[in-house]
Amino acid sequence: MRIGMVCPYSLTVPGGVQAHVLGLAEGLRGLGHQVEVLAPASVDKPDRPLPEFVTPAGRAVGVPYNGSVAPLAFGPVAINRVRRWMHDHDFDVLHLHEPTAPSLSLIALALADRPVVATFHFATARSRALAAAHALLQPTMEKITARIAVSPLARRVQVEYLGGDAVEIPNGVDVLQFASAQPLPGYPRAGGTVGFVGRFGEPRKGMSVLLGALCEVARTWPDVRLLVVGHGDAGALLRAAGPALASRIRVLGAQGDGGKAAALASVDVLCVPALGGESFGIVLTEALAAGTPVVASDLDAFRLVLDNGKAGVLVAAGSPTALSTALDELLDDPERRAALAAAGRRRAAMWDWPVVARRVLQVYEGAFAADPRRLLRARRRISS
Amino acid sequence: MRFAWVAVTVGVSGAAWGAIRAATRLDRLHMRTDAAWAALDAALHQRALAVSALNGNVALCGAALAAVHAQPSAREELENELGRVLSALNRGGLAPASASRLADAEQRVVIARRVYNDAVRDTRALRLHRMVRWLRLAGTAPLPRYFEIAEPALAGYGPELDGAGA
Repeated sequence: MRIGMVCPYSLTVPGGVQAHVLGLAEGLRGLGHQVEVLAPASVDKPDRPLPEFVTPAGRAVGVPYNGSVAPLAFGPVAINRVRRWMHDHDFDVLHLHEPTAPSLSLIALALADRPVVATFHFATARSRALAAAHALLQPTMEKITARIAVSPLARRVQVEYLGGDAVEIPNGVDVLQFASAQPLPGYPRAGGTVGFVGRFGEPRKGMSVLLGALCEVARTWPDVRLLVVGHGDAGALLRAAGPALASRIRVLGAQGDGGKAAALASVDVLCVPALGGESFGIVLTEALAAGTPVVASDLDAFRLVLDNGKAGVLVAAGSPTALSTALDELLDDPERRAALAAAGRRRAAMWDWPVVARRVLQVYEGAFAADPRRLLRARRRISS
Repeated sequence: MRFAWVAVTVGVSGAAWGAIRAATRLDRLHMRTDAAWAALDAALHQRALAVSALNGNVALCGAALAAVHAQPSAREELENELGRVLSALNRGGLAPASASRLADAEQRVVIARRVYNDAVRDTRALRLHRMVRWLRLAGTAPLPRYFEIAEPALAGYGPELDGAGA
């Protein structure tokens, strides 16, 4: 199949949707399909080369969206790029990610003249904004043939606020890469190492809760260290941590999958203290694949990934006390950590990209089968 | 006086433009619904074929044949009946190839039904619009109906949580 995939967020900035798009594209290519990706990306960053199947659509502009600053691209230049890309490739199916974001996906949807599969990633139920946008966007949204939601929560938003149903297919993860990663030099170390992965500057990611918990943990674990992977201002983080904690924090900055996998292999526990606005939690699946024990907030999305607490420890969101107790107990119990790691590896198999890509392919075929142009051709054949 | 004429002209052409746009959208939606129904019908046929490939189960074959050859008005009920028989079927006793073919066909029915019902939902929303009803933009096309059948519980498909998947 010839598949055209559009990502609304810039590939120059790491993020969950971006990783999903690239991982799915690789997975589908592995199954022998032709995939092209269109995404905002600046080409002047030689340290992060784009895969050959990506067409960069120019620089993105940071726009506050869904509680983050989303790197979006829009305007006449973007419209032209989308049009040219769709004209240059004769796709069987277009797969648009997050088509409600004002970026390339929405443009591609407006211009589309073939079956469209749309994936909805976010699950923030901001009813008023979505309902208002819905009325305005309805004529465009009518062109979507089939919808995919990455979690039951994303599907619920779909049903309740966007007026449509969706097939539920979870995010994928490169299980082999995470399972086989080597730890960073000097790790694993004695004394306890806690990990954090994500844009730590964003309040909703819950770094302040983790810092609060770490103050407590440091009393029983004087050598405890926090390894931070993610995009953000390291100086501001160390200032916020205060002099007592700052010396225990090592910020690795934004990392590709390889660096993330190495960091996960290096820590004793991964902590995901997010406060809300999470629809899936890719980092959780990556940690499970890596065999890293997880302590996470008890958000609905995380509860699902962690099999209701069977594959990881859930603590009350926003509570430093609950988090410090859980971290303390896990650091103190290697057997429990080993059991969690084994349970996590078993669970991660369902998110392996080849498994997920096959299910997405079924949806493509479903959309392709429901293409009105095929019906028209059949009718013409019958009448002639 | 001239201003009034301009206002009337603008108003009339605006209304005409809106009506043409709605009619175009409606035409597109009817096509989408028809095509989605053709695809759902094909997926249901594929499921029936997968069932009839299970050797020797006469009751199942009968249910499958009855469903795909049903009158349109009885189709939902008979497809549902087939779904019920299938959910009671012990998959462990099947040959692996036929079992996976059946599971694949069932998943494709789920997808095709979502695609069809989505098309119906969008079409009905526009059909019930005031302007579309007053100007009878839909002509004689019947109002499309949802296809409601119980979905099979597919084992091993994604994480489950009590109440959250509903």
